[in-house]
Amino acid sequence: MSTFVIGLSLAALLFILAAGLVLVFGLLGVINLAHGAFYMLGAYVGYQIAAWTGNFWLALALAPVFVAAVAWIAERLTLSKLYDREHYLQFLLTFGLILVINELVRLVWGVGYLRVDAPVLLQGSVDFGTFQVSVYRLFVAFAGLAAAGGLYLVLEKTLIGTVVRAASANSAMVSCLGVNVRRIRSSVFAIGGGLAGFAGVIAAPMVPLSLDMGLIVIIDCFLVIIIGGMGSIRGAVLGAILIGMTRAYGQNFIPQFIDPLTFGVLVAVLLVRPSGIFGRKERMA
Amino acid sequence: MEGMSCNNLWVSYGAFHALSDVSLSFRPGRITSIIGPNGAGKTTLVNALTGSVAPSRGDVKIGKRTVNRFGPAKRTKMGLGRSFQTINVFSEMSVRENLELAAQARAFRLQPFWRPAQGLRVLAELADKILEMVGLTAHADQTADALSHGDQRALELGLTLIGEPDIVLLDEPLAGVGHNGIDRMDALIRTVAEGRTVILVEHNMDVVMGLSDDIVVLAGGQVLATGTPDEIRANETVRAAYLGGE
Amino acid sequence: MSEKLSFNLTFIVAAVAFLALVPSLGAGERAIYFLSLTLIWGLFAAAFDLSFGVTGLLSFGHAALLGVGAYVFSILTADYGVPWGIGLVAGAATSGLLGLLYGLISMRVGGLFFALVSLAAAELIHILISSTLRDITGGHDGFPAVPRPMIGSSWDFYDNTTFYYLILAIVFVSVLLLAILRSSPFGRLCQGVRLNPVRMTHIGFRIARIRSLALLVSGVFSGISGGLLASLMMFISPETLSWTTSGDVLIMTLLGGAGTLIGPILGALVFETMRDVLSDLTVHWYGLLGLAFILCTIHLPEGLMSLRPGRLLGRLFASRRASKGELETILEGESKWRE
Repeated sequence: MSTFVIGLSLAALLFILAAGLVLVFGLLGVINLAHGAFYMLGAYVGYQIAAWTGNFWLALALAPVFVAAVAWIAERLTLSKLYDREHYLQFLLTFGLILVINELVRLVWGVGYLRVDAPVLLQGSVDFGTFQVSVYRLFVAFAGLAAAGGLYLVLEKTLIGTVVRAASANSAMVSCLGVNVRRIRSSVFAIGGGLAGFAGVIAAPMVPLSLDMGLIVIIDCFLVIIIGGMGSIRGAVLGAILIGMTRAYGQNFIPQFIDPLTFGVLVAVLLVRPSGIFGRKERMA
Repeated sequence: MEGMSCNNLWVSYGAFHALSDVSLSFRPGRITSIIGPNGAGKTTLVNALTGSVAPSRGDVKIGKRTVNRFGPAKRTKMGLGRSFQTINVFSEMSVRENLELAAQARAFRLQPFWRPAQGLRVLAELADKILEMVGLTAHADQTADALSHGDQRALELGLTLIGEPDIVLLDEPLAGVGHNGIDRMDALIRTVAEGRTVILVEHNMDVVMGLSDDIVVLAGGQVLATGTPDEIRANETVRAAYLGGE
Repeated sequence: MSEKLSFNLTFIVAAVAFLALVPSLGAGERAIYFLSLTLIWGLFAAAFDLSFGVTGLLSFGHAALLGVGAYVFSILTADYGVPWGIGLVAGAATSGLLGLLYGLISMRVGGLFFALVSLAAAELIHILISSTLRDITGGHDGFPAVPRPMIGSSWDFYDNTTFYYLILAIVFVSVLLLAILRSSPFGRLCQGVRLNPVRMTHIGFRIARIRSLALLVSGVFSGISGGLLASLMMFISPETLSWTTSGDVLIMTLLGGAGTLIGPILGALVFETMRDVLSDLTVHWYGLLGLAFILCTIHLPEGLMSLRPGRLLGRLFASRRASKGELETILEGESKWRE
């Protein structure tokens, strides 16, 4: 059962990350390779804030904002110049961003492993008799649920959400209606970065902070999205649960083969449904 | 020479039916035009015939063979050619290179990889023939995306023809062509139609009425009427729904 | 549009002639080693461009193609005493097969998603080599004592200058083969798949097959570079299979000019030079490279090769003619609506 909760917490983390990626892809049509770098930045900035103030909750609140600001600046300075060009150039640019962000983190925090402790409130585990469950992991699982619920509410029920959905369907039309598409784009990229940063802070008490933490998680994130179907939040939920559970149970029973197993899940899904579980099925001409 | 047909063809996306129970026969050696308002399902029909879209129900035949499970590549090898509504050429290549590339499908079973493609006579000859036919000999070395729209349409047609197809599907070949170009295109289509089965999707009624042996009227994914140009012109339902008063 | 084979051949022969003379011109050990390394990366970049610039397949997993070739070569020659040349061929063949596997992947996922899946696949292989198979591969510590060739009794390939000539010869032949392939009808098919896969299908070509073949060839030449790299350094580590290697070759290719034969090789030279010069100045040179890369995507997406005088003029004229076509389209479109 504790494995189940671990799986849930992993799924929650992956979902929050994937949601950010899907949002950015849905509106901007950009697959942001630097999403993992934003995640890492969130974790490191969160570590720093917690180290300075001794308050994890403050870190949780502020680090995502910081990362969102960085994302906003990056978009304004670089990505926005490529919107009318081929998609692969935008993709490559985000790769360049990874290198820059990695180096900045290295500059400030060095190469060693850092650890962040969970806040006192969430430390320890709950005893359910036959099994124990880490309190923090429960918290993360709920955070993921809250994120999913919140995202659904905002996108479906609010005006902002409607505008975002409209703009992702037809940005030219929306700009004719007087909406500032450029600002929406920067905002969405910033929000995507903020979500990644948030995932980073949340993950910090669970994983060691290192310069390649971004890569480790981003690959799983990509797998989640490809399995779930690009552009689909529902798919991201399903994919996150699938990968999260595979990792958790795999770690328990066959740790040496986790990575081949996870990749195997991807291959299996692609063989059966090449456009992902919730992707649109189109025969490629 | 073979014709094409589709029988009880349905193409559905969930509850939406782009094509409902369409049964048509495109007789060999004839020019059959498909007309209808926008959204009638004309392009879906063309896609189903070429194999870009799989039917939800029903079948598509080339001659007597059911080709449902064959994709566009295989159907092309069986003698089907298709031109596109929006110009679909190899934009960075020259006109000649465009045609030579298309000719390679016909010219080689095993594509050579040990010698340069430039100057290969078999390809050059095939390309020259088509350049002449569509009137692009003067532009042979220009880059495709630098051509005028009318010339691009000619190249578009050329790419379709160089494979020497028996059945030719032309999807709005007159789209965006100015008054001067229409006669040129009309003549070209007539030349192409000699000894071939032609399926033409077009909006230009003058051209359609003048060229076609048979006309199919599509609306809302269903066949509204079929017949000769005179029959269609006289058909009350069609006039009301589509042609408007004369 | 198509590269002229004659231009490429002229450049290749001239470059090789010059490079062959370099040691006699008094270049030191360090310079020779630098050139050896650059030649190997240049070949790798040229192989990558066959997939990316020619066929339009952006792969983030080419590190595995390099690394697997390197490891297969190293293990066979060092542990099993296989002759050097055979080991190199075996490494190349294995990488070719892996490339074919990537080709299978490309049948299921297209475009940028292929890049993501290839990244995942390469990382998987990275992990397999660095931990799962550590008994054969030496794991994180790397695989040492990779041999140099023993050909003929009078040549000592443990002398870097002698080995440099062999590398030059092998890279020369490889790049020559790539040049011919690119200009061949098969090469045109690959260009066609990049420019307009839908049209290619409707002309009767099986684009999946073409992509797979392109990746196979790309794999073979990547494997050759891998073997040469391992033999040069007499050591190979799993680091070579990390995403940074895939990123490096991409940077080299884009910087130099994707879609050309010479561009990526030039890019490799620039990259290695920057690495050499900048890493002495700052430990954060990789971040600077990232910055340079970003600027490249914005301002110089066609790389250094687009700065060639002939190309610049050509593009100027092309864009003038294109706008005339657009104007005509608008006018003709208007008349169509009036009917």
